[in-house]
Amino acid sequence: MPRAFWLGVGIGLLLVAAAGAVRIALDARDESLPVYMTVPDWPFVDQEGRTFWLGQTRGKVVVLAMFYTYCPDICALITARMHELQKQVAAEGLSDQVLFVSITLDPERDTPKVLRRYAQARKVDFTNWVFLTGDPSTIHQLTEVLGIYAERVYMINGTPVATPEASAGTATYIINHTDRIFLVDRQGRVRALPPGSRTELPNTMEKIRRLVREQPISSALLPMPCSLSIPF
Amino acid sequence: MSASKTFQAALIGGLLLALVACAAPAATGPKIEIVDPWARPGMSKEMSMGKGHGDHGHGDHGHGDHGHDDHGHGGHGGVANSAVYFVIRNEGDQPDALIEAATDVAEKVELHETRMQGDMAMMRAVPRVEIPARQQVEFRPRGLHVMLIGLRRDLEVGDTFTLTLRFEKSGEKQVTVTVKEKNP
Repeated sequence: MPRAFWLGVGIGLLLVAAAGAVRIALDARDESLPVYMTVPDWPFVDQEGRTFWLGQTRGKVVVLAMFYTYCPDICALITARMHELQKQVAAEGLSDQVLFVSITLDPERDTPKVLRRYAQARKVDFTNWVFLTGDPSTIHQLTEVLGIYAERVYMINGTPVATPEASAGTATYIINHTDRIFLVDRQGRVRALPPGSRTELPNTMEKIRRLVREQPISSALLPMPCSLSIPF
Repeated sequence: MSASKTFQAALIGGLLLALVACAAPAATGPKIEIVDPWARPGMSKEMSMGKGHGDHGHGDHGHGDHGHDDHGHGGHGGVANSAVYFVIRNEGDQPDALIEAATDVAEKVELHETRMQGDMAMMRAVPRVEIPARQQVEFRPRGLHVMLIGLRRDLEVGDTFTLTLRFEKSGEKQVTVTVKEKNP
């Protein structure tokens, strides 16, 4: 056989091997995002007062955070980080595939109108961002599913008091809470836990792109959904 | 040594001592400067100002299929807050302390600090913030901040307002705060 023939075979084999290596690397990268938990399909109320089931987010990649409007520091930063992500998502033409969800930890103060004005003050795009409030018990159960710690601290003029009753109703409260954002895939599974107000945008955007590229898996392989305990 | 020489030595020593004492600068106290004060955007307490039908003193629970909002009982309709950040420089030779802040754009102003314990954000009010001599203290996101509670008007990017800071020794300092969207 002429030398050129064997040279061509060798080059062909190298190309096949290289393609295989690239494919393996891509698959490995896509498979590297773990599965932490599944976001339950529970009802909330959005900033327009409409019922919003978290299951409505299935089919889209979701950037989710829990916050409250009374908090001027960390929560404002979390919302700002998400806003920057929203702008970058829009710049990459992914707005129809990525949804932003902010859920309050403080349903007693954060009514739909309060949430709407909070979001309007920050000029977010409501096209693919919802701000949710809801039943306090549902919100509490969601924090347990997501592993979010939230603790109320009652205060009078900045001084902590043991209970709200001790202040004869004059105390206000803050909520100490976990500083975290959740990246959720199209099947409602949490796949990444960026550090909330300290989120690095390039790294998080790369994860969002990865989740956008992922192919949905069969529903038969998904874990059983969480059930909502409704107290009577 | 003769008495006259002793006297001369004492005189020269005394003159030298006086010279050194005069050359050493007297303690002047703290010298406070506020650098780059800015605040986050925020919304006013629209509901407690009585705007909108049926909004007076009412909030809502926000559950169930409303189709419209702000009906219900209890609640306070949400309190609109913001935070102010800046750097305090003390170029003096004495320490000072920030003990109070006030502004017309909010009903209440408190000094607060956010502390991170792992990924837990904990916020607490602080009664005073020490400003050591010849040092600076930074009020920044995820740390010290002046909390504006109950905004009386909307704060939009580009707006300005006056904030009065009261120091233990230096007294009151008024600064012009600019509303910005900064995300360090």
